[in-house]
Amino acid sequence: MQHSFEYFLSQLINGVTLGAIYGLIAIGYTMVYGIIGMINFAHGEIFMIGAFVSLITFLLLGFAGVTWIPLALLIVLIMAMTLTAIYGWSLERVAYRPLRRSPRLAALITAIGMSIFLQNYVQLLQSARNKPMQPVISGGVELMREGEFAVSLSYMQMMIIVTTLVLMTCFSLVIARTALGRSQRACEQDQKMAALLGINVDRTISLTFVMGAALASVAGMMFLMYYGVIDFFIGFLAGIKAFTAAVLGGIGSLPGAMLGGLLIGLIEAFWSGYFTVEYKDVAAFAILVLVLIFRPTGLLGRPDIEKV
Amino acid sequence: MAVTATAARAGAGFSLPAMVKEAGLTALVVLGLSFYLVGFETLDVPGGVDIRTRFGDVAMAVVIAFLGRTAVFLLRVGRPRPVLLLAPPIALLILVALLSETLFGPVIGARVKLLVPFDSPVVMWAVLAVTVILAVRAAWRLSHDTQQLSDEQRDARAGAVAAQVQRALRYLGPALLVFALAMPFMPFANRQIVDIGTLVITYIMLGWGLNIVVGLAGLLDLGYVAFYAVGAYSFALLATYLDLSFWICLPFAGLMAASFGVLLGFPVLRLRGDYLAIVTLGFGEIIRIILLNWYSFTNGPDGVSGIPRPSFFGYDFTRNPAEGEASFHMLFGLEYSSMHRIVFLYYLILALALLVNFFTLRIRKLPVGRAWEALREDETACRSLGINPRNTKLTAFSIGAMFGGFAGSFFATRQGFISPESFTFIESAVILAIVVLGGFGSQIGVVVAAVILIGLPEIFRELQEFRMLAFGMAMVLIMLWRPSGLLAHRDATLRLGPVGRGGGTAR
Amino acid sequence: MSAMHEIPGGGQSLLTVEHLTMRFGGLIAVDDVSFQAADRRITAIIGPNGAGKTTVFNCLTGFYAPTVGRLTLHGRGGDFYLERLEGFRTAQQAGVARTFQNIRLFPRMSVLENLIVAQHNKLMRASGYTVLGLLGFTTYRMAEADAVDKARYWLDRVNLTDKADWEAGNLSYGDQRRLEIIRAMCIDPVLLCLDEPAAGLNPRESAQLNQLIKFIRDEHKIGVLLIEHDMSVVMGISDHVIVLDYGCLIADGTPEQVRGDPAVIRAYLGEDEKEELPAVVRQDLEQIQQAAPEQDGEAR
Repeated sequence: MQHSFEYFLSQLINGVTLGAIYGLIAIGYTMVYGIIGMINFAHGEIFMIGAFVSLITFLLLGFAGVTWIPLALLIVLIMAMTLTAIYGWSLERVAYRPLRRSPRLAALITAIGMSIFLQNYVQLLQSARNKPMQPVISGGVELMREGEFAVSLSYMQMMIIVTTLVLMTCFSLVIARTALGRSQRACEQDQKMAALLGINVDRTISLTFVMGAALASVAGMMFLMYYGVIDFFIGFLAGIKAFTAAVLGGIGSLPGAMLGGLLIGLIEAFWSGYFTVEYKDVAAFAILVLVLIFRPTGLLGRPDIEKV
Repeated sequence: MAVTATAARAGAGFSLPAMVKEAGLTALVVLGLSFYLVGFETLDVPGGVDIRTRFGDVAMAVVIAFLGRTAVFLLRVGRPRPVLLLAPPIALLILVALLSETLFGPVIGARVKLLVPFDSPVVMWAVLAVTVILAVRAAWRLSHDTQQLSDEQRDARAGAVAAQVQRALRYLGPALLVFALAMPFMPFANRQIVDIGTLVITYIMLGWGLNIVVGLAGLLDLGYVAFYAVGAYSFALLATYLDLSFWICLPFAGLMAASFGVLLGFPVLRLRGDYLAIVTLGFGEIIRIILLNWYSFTNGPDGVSGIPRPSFFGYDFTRNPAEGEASFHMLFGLEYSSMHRIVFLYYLILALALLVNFFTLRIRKLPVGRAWEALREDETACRSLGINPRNTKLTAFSIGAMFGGFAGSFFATRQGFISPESFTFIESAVILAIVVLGGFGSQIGVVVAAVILIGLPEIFRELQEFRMLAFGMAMVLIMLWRPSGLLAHRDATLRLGPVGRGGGTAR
Repeated sequence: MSAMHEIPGGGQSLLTVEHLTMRFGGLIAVDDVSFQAADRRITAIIGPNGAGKTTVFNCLTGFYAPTVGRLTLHGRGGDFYLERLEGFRTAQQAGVARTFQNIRLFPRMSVLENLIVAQHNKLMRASGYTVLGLLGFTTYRMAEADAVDKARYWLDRVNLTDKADWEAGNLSYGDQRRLEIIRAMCIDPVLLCLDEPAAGLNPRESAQLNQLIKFIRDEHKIGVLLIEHDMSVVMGISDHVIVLDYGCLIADGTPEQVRGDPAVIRAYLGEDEKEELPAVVRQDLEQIQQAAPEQDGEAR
């Protein structure tokens, strides 16, 4: 364990990278919660499916002989976003829409059921083993050096952070400026009124799921490229942590999701770096519990006043 | 109703383009969903991953989706005849293909089997089942000619069935009990069957324990496995370090679990449903990770072994007991058989489960039980009546935890060895599935659900692979069909008038 | 406000509200409201929608913690400061019962069970906090029988005995309202707070409600606090009327006093419109009105 500034910096970089991935997934959770008031328990599995789709696309491109990296990345991105979006859309249509007027408990049970179903669906189809992949982007820049220890920023890390920033900006613009974004915000606040004003609530909700799924699939693709190995179970843990991030930042708040993701990523990186690696997941869970107990609205969320 | 039925009969609402469009869209979506994950299989080869294509399966999935959606469409608009004509032959074909080896002998049978699109017979059986269901519904629609039932009507009918089951319980309950008591002595009861019975009853007990928390008090607990684990580990550690007997460790383990229930519940029980679920899930995982990593105390992934087996009030179940002691078989003058311990374990868990059941039935008639149910219905109203929500919830939570702890102790002593692997989130999900599918608050529902979800895959080993998949799907389907659970039905705990006069409604 | 101040409609002070203020962020829902409600009297709180009436109730019954104010209940065994009591304790210790604007019953429990749950605390003690009950001691069984008797008493009062075993959610709207009221009575309160009990009732049912409330006041000798819009109920049975508007107290007196109070009339019917119109429009209006004076009343 080193107490040097260089070590701190490299943990910081790790944390920010990890935080970007969590943030992208967290947006899906927060948007869905904001608009229909339920936790999409199966969102982690959507992320996992995005990773698998990316893997298969990379392999296919490899067989097809596509070697120019920017093109490959673009194709993988498009395929991942499209196909994962179909999963997101189907999930909402099949499992959540029929239960929109049911008690929240039923919707949660269904979500858990879908999560289990999707995990095992992928496990049965693709086997339970880890799936490794050759690194696509390697190398990086060295930022500083202290004797033997070098702080480097890999190109992969840069790509993750830049991609996330770009997506976040586009996304915020969509929400703030476009008609779709307005419909979404309207539905978030008052579904009945939005419907009365002519907004197609069903379509807005579907699109919310689709957008969340697309972002999660990008996270999946980044995860695959960054860690180099995936399996059918990555959705569970990543999902919980991303949900923690969404809650920490304030459920229903988009900037909150990114902030929360960043914080969770940093906490996890620093905890593994300075304490123990084994208990890093405990840190995430513990934060979830503490936030929900002491500040359930999160850092940037709006307080919820119950009308009696 | 009559007018719409006539309209349905006339086929109003049916249009070929609409049907093709709907079925086509479904098929397209299925294509999108299956193209990648089904179509390409990633194989693990040395040095990385290879790809194999399974487009036959994709094509079959798309065709089935198209046909299935067409059938559903036809049934919905009141044209059941085409479904009735086509579904039975298709079902027959599938059946023949599945049984081809028995029907045609091994050689021809194998060739016929190749025609069957999916490798896995389980999937084909599922497709067969769906086809049969469609055929039955078509026949029913044809003979009854009614409009599709609305959600409330379906729920009301299912509720009526559940009510009948509840009434039948007066005879069914004791009958089941007698069967359970006599089971080990029945002719078909070999070691495997008794083992399965023990496993099923363990899950029934866990389901009944969770039922107190989720079904009665309405607290969504996704981390019930934590108490199971605390019970198991408390028992194991007490027994191995302090050398205490089963009967002494059991209450201690329950007490530990209950304390954890209070500890965990105290800060979180005021949270709303969804959040409470996630927090309890978090707690479950935290406990598992701690058990996994605290090597010095819990032995980490190696687990705790050498857990003593229970004795029959001091008489061990061994062939050759220690000097000066008698063992069980000597006490009763029987030949030594390893079955004795198995049967004893069976009766042990049966007794524990019945304890939970008895407790639940009693407590529903006591103020705290009613307060749990009232809390589930409307917490704000409870507060306005002077009921302390926090204490009431804590009581439910910790009592449920205690029973989970008892079950954990039993598990530890039955296996002789425990490790953190047995206490994952999936276990919590399974137990929750049993409670949910059986019907919140329904004791008999839990029994039925446990028998189906735990017993069936044990008996039919080929189903093991698909067990969790089926779990997930079953959870979704039941919630879609009847959100309160299969056999959920609530009988009032107190009546003013005679039974049978209670079912009125002004709506 | 001292207890010696005479309460309109008479009676001893049961509830003293002093400088009650409730702020939600920048919004002031209740602004420095003070009044007294008397024991064995029916006190009505009226006012246009959004005046803060239910907020006052929520402060009294422990659902909100007031920003400022002292709420003293002169109850059985002493004074209780309601602003300090945690949620359920206002019912448990102070004896303040309430009903809700949107009826809150336990829909899947039977009518009888709803009434038994209300007697929870008494039954808990009798069951030895469950332990004795589990072991089958008779003290609990007797206490439960007493609870059923009390429930039966109230069911008879409102003609719900026949439906005692029905699921509460299956009752008609009017029956549900009455059930909620008798359930509140089952906790043996000293102050009964009813939030719009006549909402959605037809005139016959409103009259029955009046009878019930008067019965509660006279036979059970407790104070009743009542939020209502239905003037037949308010004027018909109240001893004391308090009027709120935009969170402020604008009138406090007997029904007759309040009925004629110009501030109250203004609050309900609005200001005289002429003074609010722009000058040009006003001139035109006056010209038209001068031309046809007998149609003045209809022009507005």
